[in-house]
Amino acid sequence: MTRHAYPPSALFGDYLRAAAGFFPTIAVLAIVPVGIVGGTMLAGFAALFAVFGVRTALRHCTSIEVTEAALQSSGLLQASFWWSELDRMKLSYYSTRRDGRGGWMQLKLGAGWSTLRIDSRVEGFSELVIASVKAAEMRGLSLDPATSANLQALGIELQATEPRFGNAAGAAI
Amino acid sequence: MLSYIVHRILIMIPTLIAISIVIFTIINLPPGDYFSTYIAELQSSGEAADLAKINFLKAQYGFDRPLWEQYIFWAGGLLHGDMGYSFAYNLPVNQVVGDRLLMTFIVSFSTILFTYIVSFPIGVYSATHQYSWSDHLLTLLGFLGLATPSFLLALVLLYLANVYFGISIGGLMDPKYVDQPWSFGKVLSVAAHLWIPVVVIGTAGTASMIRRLRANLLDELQKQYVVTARAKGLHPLKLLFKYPLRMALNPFISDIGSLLPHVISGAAIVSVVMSLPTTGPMLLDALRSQDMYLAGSFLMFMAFLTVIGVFISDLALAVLDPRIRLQAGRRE
Repeated sequence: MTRHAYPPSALFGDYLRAAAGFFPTIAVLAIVPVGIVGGTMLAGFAALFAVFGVRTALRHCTSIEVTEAALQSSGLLQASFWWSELDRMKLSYYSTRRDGRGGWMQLKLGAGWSTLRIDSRVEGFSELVIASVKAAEMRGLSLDPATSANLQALGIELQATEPRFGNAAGAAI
Repeated sequence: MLSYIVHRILIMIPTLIAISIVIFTIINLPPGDYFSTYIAELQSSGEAADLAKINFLKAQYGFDRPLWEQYIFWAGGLLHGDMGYSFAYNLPVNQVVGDRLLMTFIVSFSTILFTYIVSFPIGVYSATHQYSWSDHLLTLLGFLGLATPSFLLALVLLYLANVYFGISIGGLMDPKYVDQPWSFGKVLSVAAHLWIPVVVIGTAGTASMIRRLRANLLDELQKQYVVTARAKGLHPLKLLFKYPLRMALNPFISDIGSLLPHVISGAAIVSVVMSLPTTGPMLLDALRSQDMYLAGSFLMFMAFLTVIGVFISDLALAVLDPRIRLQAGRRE
């Protein structure tokens, strides 16, 4: 069994971003008479940054346990499923820079109604991805081209390099 | 995705502040200001200027204060929707812009819709029927669209619309509806006039989008995964829509960023030719007469549209194809 958590140093930037977005927006809303349109936009931004701050705090208190048979997240963001029930996997890469550097990845795993999103700043992210890929291949899941490209960027080779054309249950054509 | 949105918004804010500083600096670069030009014009024609009013406006809008204070005043006003005062029109910018902004939005978004609705099916058809006679015909039309100057097309369409459909020359509505409150008749009149500027402004963009979509889709259709899927008997339409088309859409979507400001600023010449009551001609006048608040607010509005457009296209790209892309010879 392995345990993965977000180190506080990795989340520090997110706390700063949430604060840098939330407090100035609230200050402008409170001080400047912005009108209905401007006020709605600023209130939307404030809500967005507040949600981001809350999610960062939830991640701070969450840890993910991975075993041969299952994946379980404990803490405030709880989710768990058996690897044998995994029916969707997506590995996304996001970068705000034009040259595509300095970005981060997000692994999205799902089984039935249960969905778990894991950021690449979690400790041992590569091990988590490898375990997920194994489970996905075992289940014969269809991986989209973006996920395949991102896995290759991580140095993880897929058994089937071409995307599969079939449903999640592995009914490939 | 939430992290991405937050990161992007936090980048947008300093970007907009930096742009506003650049705009304010540039519109203040020419020597003198609107008032000195205005007084000189009156004196040269032997008329007397209302100095009391001019001094009042100068003091009210802080023209006697340092530049940075003027900037704070202007930017602070923008935050709560006060775009300043148009000295040329003797009205607040909000009132001067009035219906023009609405008209600009109507023309711009209709043009964008026209561009996408026309170019998307034609681009897909051209790529999937490469080198057929219909592909050659559409390619010819595309090149014609790219090569025809917009103002020339505007003149031709104005003539044809007047002769064959009886639509009045120029403007976005019949003359009897100008400066009248909105009514059903006015809406119908705008709808009847709208197609001419939409076709004129949208033609070049549509043609270039068709070419790019065709080229991108052809690249994707020749890839091995498409051949494999075909060999395995996947339905051609399902195959087309599930992977190659989605991949080919990326440059299409990244265009949104430049589309919004381009449609507004690029339409200025066409708007002058067609006498459209949009913001383009007003921006030209404001820049010529150094009407700084009017010009600055317009430029800021266009910068805002650019930033919003890039934000929307980045979000759409991140949703559709969130793959790692490292430039400068690195892994694609």
